[in-house]
Amino acid sequence: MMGVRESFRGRHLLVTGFTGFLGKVWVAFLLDHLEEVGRITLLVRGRRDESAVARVRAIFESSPALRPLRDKHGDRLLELVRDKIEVLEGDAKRPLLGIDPGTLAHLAPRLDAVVHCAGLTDFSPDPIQAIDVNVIGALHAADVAARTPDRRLVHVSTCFVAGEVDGDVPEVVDPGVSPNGTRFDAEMEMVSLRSACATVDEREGGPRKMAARRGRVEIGTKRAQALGWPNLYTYSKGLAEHALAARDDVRVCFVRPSIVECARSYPFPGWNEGLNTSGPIVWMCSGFAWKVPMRADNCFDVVPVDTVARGMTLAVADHLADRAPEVVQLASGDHNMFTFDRALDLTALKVRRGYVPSGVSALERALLTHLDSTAMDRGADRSYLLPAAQRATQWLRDRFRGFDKDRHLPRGVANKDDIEAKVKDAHLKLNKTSMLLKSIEQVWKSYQPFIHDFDYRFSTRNVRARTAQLSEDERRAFGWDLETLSWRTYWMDVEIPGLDRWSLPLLRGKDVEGDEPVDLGGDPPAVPTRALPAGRETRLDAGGAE
Amino acid sequence: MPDAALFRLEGTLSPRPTLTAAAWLALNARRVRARLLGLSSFALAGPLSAGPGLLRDPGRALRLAWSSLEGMSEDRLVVLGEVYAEEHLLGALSEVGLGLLEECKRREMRLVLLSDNLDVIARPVAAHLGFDVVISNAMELDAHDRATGELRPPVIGPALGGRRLEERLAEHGVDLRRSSVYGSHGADSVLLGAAELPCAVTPDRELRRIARDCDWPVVEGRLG
Repeated sequence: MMGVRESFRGRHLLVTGFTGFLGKVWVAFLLDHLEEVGRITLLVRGRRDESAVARVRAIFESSPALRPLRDKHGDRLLELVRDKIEVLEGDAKRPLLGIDPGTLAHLAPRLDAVVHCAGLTDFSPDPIQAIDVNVIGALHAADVAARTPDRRLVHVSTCFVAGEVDGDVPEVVDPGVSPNGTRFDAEMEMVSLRSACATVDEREGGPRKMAARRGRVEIGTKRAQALGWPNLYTYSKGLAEHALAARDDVRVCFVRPSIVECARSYPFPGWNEGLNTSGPIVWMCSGFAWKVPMRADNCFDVVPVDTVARGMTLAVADHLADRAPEVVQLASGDHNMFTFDRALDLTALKVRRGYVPSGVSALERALLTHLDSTAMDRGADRSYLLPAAQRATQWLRDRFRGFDKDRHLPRGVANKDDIEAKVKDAHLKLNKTSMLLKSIEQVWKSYQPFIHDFDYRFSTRNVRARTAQLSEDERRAFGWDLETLSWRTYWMDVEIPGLDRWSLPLLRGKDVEGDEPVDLGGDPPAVPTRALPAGRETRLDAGGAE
Repeated sequence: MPDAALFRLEGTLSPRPTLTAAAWLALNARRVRARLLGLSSFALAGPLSAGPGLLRDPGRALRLAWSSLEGMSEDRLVVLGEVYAEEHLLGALSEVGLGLLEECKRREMRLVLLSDNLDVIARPVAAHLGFDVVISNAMELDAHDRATGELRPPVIGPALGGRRLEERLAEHGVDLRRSSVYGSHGADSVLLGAAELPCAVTPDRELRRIARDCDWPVVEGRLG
């Protein structure tokens, strides 16, 4: 059987989503471990003040994800970049990913596969935005793949397209059947959702109004839940899978990671970017969230980003060799299970080991190190007091709001002004506390399907079976390695320090400092724009073929 | 010259008795209810450990103490074990014990740490001090990696010695009859009696008497 290196030898990939967390790590992993890869065209969206080439250059110069490449190649990194990388300005939301037809006509015949990593990962995005990026964007990627000689598309999805189900989740797609068994048509679903959102916009006086956005999220979430998806993220990713699976002009391999978290070793232990799922959980549990609405024994399906990069590499290699399974799930629960209870215990132990969130007093520190978070059943456990605490704080705040020193204080009371100032101060503090409690409760509610309601066990048979077939050398470099992960070491020594360094500052409203930029010495090459040969026309609508 | 040097952790290297470690672990259980249960176990274990005459039964006291850890996760045992070793043992080691240990290292003897404490506590101490072999107790875990409250056999009791211990030492290639043994308590006397070179280190009253009777060397110094 052809090895991973052989499968990649001289191959040309078009990759979307390079600027995202997983995209960066995967491309860096390929460049670092697979010199056989021929060329990688990075499709990147330009910004008003920054071209696609400038964005890619900035990532190569300062992103910590590229640190091993900078360390390894030093001044000669530009040579590697010019040899392996080219940048193409585009946009997943635009037809044919925003690639102009002439350029595509020249590029497509040289491509061996399109790897579509781009996507929105917010749990409650604007449904129109979610549809445009996660569904239409995927269809645009398929349109490009359909124009390549072998019509290969690797679509990065998520294990949670499984929706509201308990137990084993096999590696299959059942086109047109939603998680709760409802038959539906993905195209019609998008049409009706757009129509419903347009009605909301009209009712609220325009799409830019906050009430309109809230209304769209509400109506989209209801529709998602009616089909068995817990939120708009899983719904839009699910729709994309169903829409792609129904197409016969492309050969799709769906790569489904579960919860992608801090790197185990590549680019270096702990690397993370942005706010991922575990960030808020660790932030709250290392603080004063003593009762956490989680099901203790449910699986917390975390996978380090570099392990996902390995799994993706295997899936792409197999797709290039025309033997990839339709779905490859990259998860941990079916062979090295981590539970929410264990995550809470280890987080508390990390606090005991000296990790205390910044900005806490000595008394708080002492309390934090001796009171540990425990999971509780949201419905059954009466000790879950957060909603009640929020209501009480709100009630008290409202009592203080209308305070009038002349009306509420008896005559003859001295220092009325001082008392009024104190009451106003208390009102502000209560308001702040009430907002904090509300946002915590909102986070728990948005996480509820994944941490409380459903206990998923995603099958990873495909990636593990493929790993078993690798040579010893390739298994070390690319094999699925989660069986060997010690969750205690990972969570305490990698995940929590990684989140603390790369993610939690964002929750505290602070910036995360990247690496000191290193001058690349020149721009990565851009794909030259080409005119369409005379006499050829291209339809640009989604799903259209030349 | 002896090939190996056996050091008893409790007494010879550290002044803290094993019961203290068990109490500390129980008081750091995850839930407050478990901490309170741990406390009540120690209310019973205390008199058994240090009580007078017939009431005194250190072995039973320890069993009772360990039983209070029932339900504690392996993660918690390991992490708290490290914390206890670092915060409560390594900072207060016996100077005389450390001096003897250095001397044995200089003579390139195999170093064996003996303890009736849990391995999660004894191992970090052994790693820090450079011991080659650790012989200690391990908590039995259930299918969910939670402590059952029972020690995994063979159990090392407060009174060290006997055939089982010799067998465990032999598994590591250590022959008690070709070893130096350093102990501090009367309960160590059986072990010391079987060694090639026994040595009482700052001994308690009972061991001091036995050492005098048997003509064993006695090393005095400050404990912790």
